[in-house]
Amino acid sequence: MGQSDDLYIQGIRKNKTRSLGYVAEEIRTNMEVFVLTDAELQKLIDTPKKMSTKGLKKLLERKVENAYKRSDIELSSETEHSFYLRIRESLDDPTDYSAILSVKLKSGETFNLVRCNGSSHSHKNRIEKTKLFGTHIHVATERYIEMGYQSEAFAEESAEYNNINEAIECLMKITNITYKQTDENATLF
Amino acid sequence: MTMTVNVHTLEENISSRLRTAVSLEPRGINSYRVNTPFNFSDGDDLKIIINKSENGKWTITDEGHTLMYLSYYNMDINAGTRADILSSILKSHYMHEDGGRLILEADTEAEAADSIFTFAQGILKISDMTMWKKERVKSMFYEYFREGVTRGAKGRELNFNYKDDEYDPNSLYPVDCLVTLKNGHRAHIYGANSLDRANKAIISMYHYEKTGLNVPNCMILSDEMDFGKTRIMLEEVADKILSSPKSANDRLDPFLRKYEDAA
Repeated sequence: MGQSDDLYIQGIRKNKTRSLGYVAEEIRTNMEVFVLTDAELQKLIDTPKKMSTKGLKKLLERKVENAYKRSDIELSSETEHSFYLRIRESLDDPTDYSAILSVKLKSGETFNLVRCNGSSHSHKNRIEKTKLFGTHIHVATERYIEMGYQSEAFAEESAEYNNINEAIECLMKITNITYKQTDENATLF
Repeated sequence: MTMTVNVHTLEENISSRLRTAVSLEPRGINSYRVNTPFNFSDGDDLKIIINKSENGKWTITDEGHTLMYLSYYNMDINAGTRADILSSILKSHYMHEDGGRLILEADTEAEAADSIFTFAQGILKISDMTMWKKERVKSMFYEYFREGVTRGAKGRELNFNYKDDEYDPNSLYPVDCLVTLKNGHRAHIYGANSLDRANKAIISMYHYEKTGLNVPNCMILSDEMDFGKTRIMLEEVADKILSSPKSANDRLDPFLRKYEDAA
């Protein structure tokens, strides 16, 4: 009999072969781990999530920490995973902000699924070798997870928002986060 | 024939690339954003602002962005090892922290220019804390696969992520789970939540078929994936295909018993 490795204990070993030009479709990995697929990631993003009244209060009353304001709100869902809405806002630069949906899987791993960023900085998609300017939305993808980057290292430009409150509304819309309001015509802010 | 490298041309090319990758954007009076070719591990550019004060001195700062970036990953840098390491990085890069903002001061413009890359290196080292002990985010499928196989095997000995030293010394044909049957023979179980994993499993199955070991193999698929033509290939080589890890709870034992009874 040969050796047996338990993935949870031993960690990950891999062999990588790359084509010239590092085109994502041509990168093959001999990985010994089941990485989250794009279908599974999208399912997490689409899962209905709800924000409570307590969560809304936290959303509106962001606390100062270091040189930014933050709030972290736990959302409820009918799954075994935990979802969080995280807000960050720079005190020095009104264009430097993030509205983030993160998830803690049943297995304990935590990572960011979607992140709406302000226009304070540009972004480079390392696999596609494209550069973005202005407001942009990061999203978790299988190919970036496989390459060992942050899960949400892929981003696309977005014209859907111009400030942090609009970014939060955009994030809630695209990641299926709802809050029950008594006045249907009222917006969140 | 090996072409000799022209060192001067190479040096000029690299220098030229680095020069054009660095630029300044004015932000106000004597204040500039410095654009560099360096990125955080999420692809976002570093935030580096350079200001000249009235007394002629220069300040390089990130306006608090780096620590805010760490907080995207809910990282606590206020205590323990991380706080020590942060302090060490700041010290070794001539930086300090003020109200959450990372700062490097310079007396002259020349010194400030020299310090930009030092500052960038410091920010990158600090931001890399988010990548420590980072495992690939594992699919839930693997957990369900383990659960399904463990339940379905009904107490038989299991070796997950098995590699055979004799028939696979270079670890090219991994077996997701080796089951020891009650008669001492072996069976192989594979799991796939993507076409890539299914194809890998097919390669492994064909490999062990060629060894003549007559190892029965079972493929457990993710029910969230359409395997299309790959499923047809699987049907040609796998002895059993189960449609989900859940169905392994009930269907794996009967499959394994067939090979225990037949031996």
